[in-house]
Amino acid sequence: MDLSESNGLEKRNGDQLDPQLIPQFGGPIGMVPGTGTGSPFALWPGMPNLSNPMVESFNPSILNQSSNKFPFSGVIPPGLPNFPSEPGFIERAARLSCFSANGAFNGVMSNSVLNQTQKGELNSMSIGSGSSHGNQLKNQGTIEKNTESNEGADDRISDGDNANANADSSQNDSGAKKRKRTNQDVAIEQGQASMKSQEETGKQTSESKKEVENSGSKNAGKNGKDAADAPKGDYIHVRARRGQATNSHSLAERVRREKISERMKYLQELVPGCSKVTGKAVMLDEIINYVQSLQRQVEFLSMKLAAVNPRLDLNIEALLSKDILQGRGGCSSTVGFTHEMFHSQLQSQPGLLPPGLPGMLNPSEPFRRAINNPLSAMNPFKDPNHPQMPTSWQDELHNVMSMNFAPNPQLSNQEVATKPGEGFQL
Amino acid sequence: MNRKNYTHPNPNPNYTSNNSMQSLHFIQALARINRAASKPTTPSCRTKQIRHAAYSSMAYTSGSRRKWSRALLIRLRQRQRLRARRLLTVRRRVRIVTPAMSLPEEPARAETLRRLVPGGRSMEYCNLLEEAADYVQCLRTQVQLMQSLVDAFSS
Repeated sequence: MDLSESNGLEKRNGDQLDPQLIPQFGGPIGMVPGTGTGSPFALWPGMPNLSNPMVESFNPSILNQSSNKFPFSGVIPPGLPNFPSEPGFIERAARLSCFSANGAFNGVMSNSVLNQTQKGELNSMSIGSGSSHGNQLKNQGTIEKNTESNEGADDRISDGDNANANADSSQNDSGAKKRKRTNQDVAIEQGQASMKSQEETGKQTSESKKEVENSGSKNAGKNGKDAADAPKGDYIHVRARRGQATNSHSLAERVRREKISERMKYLQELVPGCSKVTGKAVMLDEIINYVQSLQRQVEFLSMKLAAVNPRLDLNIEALLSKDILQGRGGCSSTVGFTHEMFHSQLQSQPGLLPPGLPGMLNPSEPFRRAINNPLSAMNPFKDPNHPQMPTSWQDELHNVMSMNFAPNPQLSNQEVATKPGEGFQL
Repeated sequence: MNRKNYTHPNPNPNYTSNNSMQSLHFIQALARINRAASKPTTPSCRTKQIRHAAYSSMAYTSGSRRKWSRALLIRLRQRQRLRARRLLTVRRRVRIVTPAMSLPEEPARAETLRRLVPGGRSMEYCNLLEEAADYVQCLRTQVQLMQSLVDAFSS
């Protein structure tokens, strides 16, 4: 990881100059030595995509701090503008930043730890909650001077705070601690490895990133290409949007939003007069109105049925037995009986019911004798065979519906004659 | 009748004919109401019974895969149980419904929709929309069925 590289640099310089400098340098940026120094390398190429205000606030703090206290800092500031001009490095860093978001799924422990640290680093850059930084500082025993500048940086950073702050901060903490351990091992080794021009260090940060991800081996220059191939398979899913949108929360959120809009569309088709409306609030209003009107219609119609019903006791039973007969006829596959007869009946009687029942009796008479206990035996809630009953009943009902008001669910209640039919007596 | 020999390819009653099943359930419920109501009942009571029959036939047809139908059936059964128990002791159990966490982007109208769709109070917004769609479909079918029955009986 880049931090290891820069940490190595820092270590070496710190040995020469002042051990105090390590935490001081680490302080203002990432609050962990590895994090702080490493982050400009890792993040700078990737940052312009995020369009975070923190990018602007980030740079001066590094520059000031480094120019004040750090001799090594003379290397960094001229180098920084060079990074974006290096296309390969941008590409690789972008990949890795995406890859790190995926890192939780990696099975290998060291990989996952490092990916987490990388992710945590990204998030600490963009988020930077002050309390966690304070804790980390205490852990390292360096609270002294830089806290003011820390808080200044934190304030600036927290301006660019986004919704993922709380979710990631815990991971951030643990990641930072792990990072401290793993990096200092590797960093010492790598500190002696190379001190080159700035592009080369930039390359090597990315290379060392992959190297640490792989095994933490010593030779920094060679593993870069091998490691570059490894993450290709993994980052693809997350590549769509990089930055904050790639963490799992916002991904889930996006999926949820898509689902909601899809269902809204479905509801829009379902509710008449809703297709022209734009805007979710208005659409919801329409849906609510429709559901309310339907419920009111059910109420009203049940009232109507209650008013009509008392004189129709027999009729319903007759209707039922007729249904059952039809259904039974259909399912017992007496060919030629059900459908043809029934349709001829239906065609012969547009009103279906009152004339239909006497007409019904003729073909269904033998079956009525055969069954003879239709209602008790045909309770569909207990009958396992009831799915096949309505084969012809469906036709009938469909016919009725299409006759009455198939295309238009609006009720024509006023048309309904309230006098009950006399032709129902069987 | 060889109905025992006949096996439907799909045992799910919602398989092909939701409409017809719903109408069958409803008509059977009506028949049961009519048979039970040998003693004279008030029209309001009959209205309530028929309304319950309508809703429960809807819920039965939709089956247990939908949350609204489950909630509807539970509500109807509880009401029945309450009615039966009211003769003995009036003792209500407080039902605890955990309200769904309302998200900030959720429109304020969603609360109204929650109240309309049975069982919607504890649903997440995304589920609420799905259930509402299914509920609307079933309600529409029911209304069409009842309307056709009313038309047929009163003509």
